[in-house]
Amino acid sequence: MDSDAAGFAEFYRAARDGCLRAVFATVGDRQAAEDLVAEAFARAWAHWRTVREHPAPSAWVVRTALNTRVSWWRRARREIPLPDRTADTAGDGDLDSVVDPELIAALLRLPERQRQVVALRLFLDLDTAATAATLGIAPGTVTAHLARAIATLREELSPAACEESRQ
Amino acid sequence: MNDQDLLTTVRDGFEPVQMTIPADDIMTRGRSLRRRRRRGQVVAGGALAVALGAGLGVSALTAGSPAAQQATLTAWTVQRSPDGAITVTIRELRDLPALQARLVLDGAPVTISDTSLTLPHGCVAQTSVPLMLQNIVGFSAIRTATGVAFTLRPARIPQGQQLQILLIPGPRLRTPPVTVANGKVTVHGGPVTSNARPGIFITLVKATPPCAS
Repeated sequence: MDSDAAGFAEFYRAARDGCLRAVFATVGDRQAAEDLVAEAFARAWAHWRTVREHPAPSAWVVRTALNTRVSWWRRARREIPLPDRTADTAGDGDLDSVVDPELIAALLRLPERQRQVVALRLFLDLDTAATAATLGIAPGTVTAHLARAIATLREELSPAACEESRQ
Repeated sequence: MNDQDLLTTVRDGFEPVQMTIPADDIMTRGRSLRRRRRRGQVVAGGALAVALGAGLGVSALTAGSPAAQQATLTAWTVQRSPDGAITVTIRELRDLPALQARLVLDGAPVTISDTSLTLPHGCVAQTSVPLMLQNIVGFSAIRTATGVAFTLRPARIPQGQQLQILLIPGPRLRTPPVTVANGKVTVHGGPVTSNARPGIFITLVKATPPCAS
């Protein structure tokens, strides 16, 4: 294995789970997330000499995965839908059951941009500046999105809220 | 709960989520993308018609070869969880006998087919009620962006029975011999109407050898 391949393999080993969790938290479907992340890593390897110089290669992968999702979605609109599960709700089902469904549901109730900020900050450990650069928004906007997301998640996930929802 | 506790709760909640696709598959796909990009550059440089024709010819000839198979992500993936559940993702209708063998090896008695399956009279068990199937197969996440996926729980399959899985080709489940003409889609040599859609049908049948004869 040459040094490029070894470097990429090491990057993949170190970053794959974080990237998958970030994309899963954003799209809410584990299998779709894995397919998207796999495709994004493949593109990273195809452009490895560029990607390895990127300040945050794992952020590049997540960004590519999310962009790929948009293009797949556009293509899917032109395809014939599946006869069953065409309205498959993201986040439910056995494939996703390794994660608490309430947690996924709470994340999916956030606006998409807030979800992306949470995903990048939490699962890739990006700081505010890197998150802002990845999403193409201002650092102040990242801070605001994160604060709002935390406030919403606290309401959704706090034990008191859970008790109230059960009553 | 302070901010840090909350974020830790969310982060820990995703801890079990892990990639299952090997690095080799990713790199093979990446090399294919790189070759395609270079080929595109060559085509853009000149000889467009010749290069395009040659490329299409090569693609058609090698559709079933190992080289062509390496050009995509794996046709299917089988992932076994610690609790014994088996998650199957099918992206392309290739190597289904190998998939069936793999699942049987993992303790899931199944038959998999991508054509219309006809069983002798009396072969289909009367016990294939939806509730029981739902107990065995995770139906609710059966569709993904690129194919179909389902989770099997072999331990819940009743003794003496097996799952019969029928896969219907369609836009998301690619299979090479598909042609479209005059509003009809022809799959595997058999004409079907143009609204034929990809799908999956799972039934519970008796696991008895007489079905094969």
